[in-house]
Amino acid sequence: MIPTKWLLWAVMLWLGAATCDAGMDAVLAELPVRSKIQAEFEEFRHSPARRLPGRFSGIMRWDAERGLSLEYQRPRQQWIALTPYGSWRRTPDGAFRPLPSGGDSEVWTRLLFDVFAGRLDLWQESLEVRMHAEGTLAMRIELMPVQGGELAGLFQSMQFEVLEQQIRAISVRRDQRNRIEIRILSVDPQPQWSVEEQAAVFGPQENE
Amino acid sequence: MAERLSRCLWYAVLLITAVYLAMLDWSSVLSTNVLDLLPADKNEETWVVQQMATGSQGRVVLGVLEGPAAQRERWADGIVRDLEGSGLFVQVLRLDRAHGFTEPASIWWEDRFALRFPLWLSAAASDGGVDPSNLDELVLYAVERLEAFYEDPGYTAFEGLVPGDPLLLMYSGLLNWMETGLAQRFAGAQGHTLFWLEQKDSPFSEAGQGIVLDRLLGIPGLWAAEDVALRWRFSGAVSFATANRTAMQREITRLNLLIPLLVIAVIGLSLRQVRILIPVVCVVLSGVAGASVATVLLLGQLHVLTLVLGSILAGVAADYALHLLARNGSLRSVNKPLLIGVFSTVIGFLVFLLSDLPVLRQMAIFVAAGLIFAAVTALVLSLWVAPVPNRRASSVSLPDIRLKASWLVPAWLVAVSGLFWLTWRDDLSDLEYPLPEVRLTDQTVRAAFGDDGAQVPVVVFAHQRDTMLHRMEYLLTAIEPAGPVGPTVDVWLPGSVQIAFTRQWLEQHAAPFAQALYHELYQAGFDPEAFESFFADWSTFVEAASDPAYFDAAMDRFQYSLNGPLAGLYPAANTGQGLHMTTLILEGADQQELLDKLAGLDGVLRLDTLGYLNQLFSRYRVELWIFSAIGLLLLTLVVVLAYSWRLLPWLVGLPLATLLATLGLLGWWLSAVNLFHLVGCILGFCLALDYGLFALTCKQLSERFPRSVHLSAATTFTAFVLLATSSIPAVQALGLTVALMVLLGWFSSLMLFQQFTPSTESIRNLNE
Repeated sequence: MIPTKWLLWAVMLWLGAATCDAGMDAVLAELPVRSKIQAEFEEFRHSPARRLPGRFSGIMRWDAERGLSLEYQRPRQQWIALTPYGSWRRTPDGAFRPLPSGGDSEVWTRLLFDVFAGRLDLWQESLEVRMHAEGTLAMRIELMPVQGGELAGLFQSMQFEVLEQQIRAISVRRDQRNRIEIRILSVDPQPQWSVEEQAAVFGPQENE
Repeated sequence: MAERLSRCLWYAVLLITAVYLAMLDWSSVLSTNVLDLLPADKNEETWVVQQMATGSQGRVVLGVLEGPAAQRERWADGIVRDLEGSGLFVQVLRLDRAHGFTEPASIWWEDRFALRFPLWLSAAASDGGVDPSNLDELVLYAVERLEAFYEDPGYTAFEGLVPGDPLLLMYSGLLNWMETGLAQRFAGAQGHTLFWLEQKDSPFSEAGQGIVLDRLLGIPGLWAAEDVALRWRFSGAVSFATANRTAMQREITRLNLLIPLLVIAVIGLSLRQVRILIPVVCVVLSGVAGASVATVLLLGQLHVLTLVLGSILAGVAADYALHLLARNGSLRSVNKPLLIGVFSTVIGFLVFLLSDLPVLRQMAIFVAAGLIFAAVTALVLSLWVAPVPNRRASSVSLPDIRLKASWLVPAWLVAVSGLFWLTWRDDLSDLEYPLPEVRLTDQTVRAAFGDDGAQVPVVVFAHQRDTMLHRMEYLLTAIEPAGPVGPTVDVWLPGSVQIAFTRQWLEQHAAPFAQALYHELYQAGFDPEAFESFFADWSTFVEAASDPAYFDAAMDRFQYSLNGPLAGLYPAANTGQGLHMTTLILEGADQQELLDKLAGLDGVLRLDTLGYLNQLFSRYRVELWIFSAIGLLLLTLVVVLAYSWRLLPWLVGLPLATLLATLGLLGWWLSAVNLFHLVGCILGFCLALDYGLFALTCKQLSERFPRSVHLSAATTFTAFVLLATSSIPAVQALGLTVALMVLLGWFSSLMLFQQFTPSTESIRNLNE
């Protein structure tokens, strides 16, 4: 099962916003230490500027010690590594450069920093459970900004679709025309990575 | 009656001097800034260097918070609030927080068309291979870039900008910013949060030192009560200036306590009584007081180094009192050499007023005025203070130095041959107290900011912004393949050629371009309606761009909005001086090769403030030699007029030989000498001349060798040997040189006394 908090974190980072290691630490501290997961994903970005959503797909890798690596394969190869030691973008020559901080506005960036700093109290949760006829259990977790909170007006909601203890889809909605939908296509719960692969995937680590 | 009147008059002068000194605001008058010792605005290069060192960039304090991320995150904003609340800083920025740069960012956004569109148009032609007059190609180029933007998952954080900026004017500038790595530096190395602080007051002023330093040192107190593992470090001119000032004051206090004690001991042991000390102290104090008042009145400032060099004055002033009060015979045997000595030394030092170097001008006024004050006080005192009887006259005999030329001349030649080994090295850091701990902290803090010493900061300057941009472009071409490691100002600023082309292009294509872009956006799957704000702003831009001042005004606005480290890239304060400056950081595999390339470029200067100032300072050594030579000529003239040209070899030749021997010995002894050894030589020359004058006069009057010369040499030697133990390299150099000169000068005066045979004519002259 993919931990909800991790996905929440991943989603926030998918938004492309800047990160700060402080926030990362706070979130990482709450994640299960055992996890090492690899999953294929498909992502649709709905933007007010485009009539059709942008489609991305790739592989995500999670290592409790090293962090999260997103390998986008389409529409073009792109690596992003979000680790407790920093956030990186891998350049075509294999070098890791820090992921740019900043955002489309100063307020947007500041609020995201606060989220990464672990201020999840700005969200209110709701849970919807459905039992299907064939006996499978489906859940929908929805996070909405607390009314009057700092995030109110910036996000409408985040939704996690869970089926048979696996998160299958995530949706982040800023407004009607600005949202991201992620579908988890397949999950390898026990991936094996070589040391070289780990270095190439997760980027610089403090202890190296 | 006249004597009493003049005495009263002089006491009144001294009283006024003392009152004036007591009422002075010493915190504003006394300077510790080494830059005050250098000439102001002599040429563009000097001005640029001084501006970088003393402008707002000179008031910057860099701060680093180290520790676990969560704890840093918790306390970093507290640091900002604390420092902002202190009122001591005009800027307190956390560099990892974008909102510190809100103003430049918003100005950049508002003026994005003026600042970026000419560059975009130029890039479309050069990088995209597009003919800007072919609108179909141009809009296709624009939309393809936009599509590429949306294909990059890493940068869509900037997606919110796109509706107002489908041409990605801002985004491409930001990319340039990120690719140059400065953003990485701002973010700070792992485990660091970086702070950029700008002091309200200069770190060289009282208000900008102690209180600021206390506030910065008190930062750890914010979390002292809690169990946190945070470490706060900072560095800036304030660290050096305050530590330097404190150390210098401690050093000067130490010397000022020890020197009088030793002088008292020497006088007490020599004369077996200490009552003479009271007039000696009065003479020295009046000399220092008069010197300070004259310097402040004429120059408005007194540098702490002038006070240190002013020990010259104390040494010579004490001699005047000793010559008068420890004389062997009549006042007549002392008056003439004393007056000639004062006159010649004052003239010798006043020549330095012609120098461009403020430190020399200050020293000239300080020493000259102080000597006049001291001499007059000594003369006034000698009228009513009886000389100290020479109780030991019968038991003391002169050392026999009837030296044979057979070994004296070779000894002198050996000493002088050290001149061949004499090398000069002027280093402004000699003026400062060595502060290894502060320097180490500075290195650590700078390393956290990405300065590992491998980069070469360069300033490009010109009277026109366009020329500056051209120079920078040329520089970046000339130093290929080494490139800038930080963002350059051309990320923001278009040149005049690009602006002129844009104006022309707008006149013909502005409206059809907007229509074609709208259409192409739709064709590519975008919703043109989403770009409504862009099209509205475009119309405003097209209208405003017809104003000839539009682009320049936008660039000025942007320049003045820059803050934090950005302000250092394009300092706004400099436009008032008619110079545009920008800094960029270069990195090359071979630094020497890089520097060689820079050397041949106009309006390009390596930003090595200390190195440049050292170079500037060393230029003035030549000036010091020239003025010393002029002073020597004037002094010779005084001696010729007062005595006879036949005495020149004795009175001027011997001190000159002493000076050469001293320099030679320094050549043997030290690896390098500097400006302060030279200043010591000048003082030593004056003292040696004085000793010679007194010895010669006594010889002509058939009196004993003046014991005042022994006493003066002993006290001066003691005082300057003590100065030679100072930790301040400049004071050490001065002390060592003068001590050597005094020793050799005293020796040469003994030689003069024993070898010189006065002619009948000279005795008659003296009597006349």
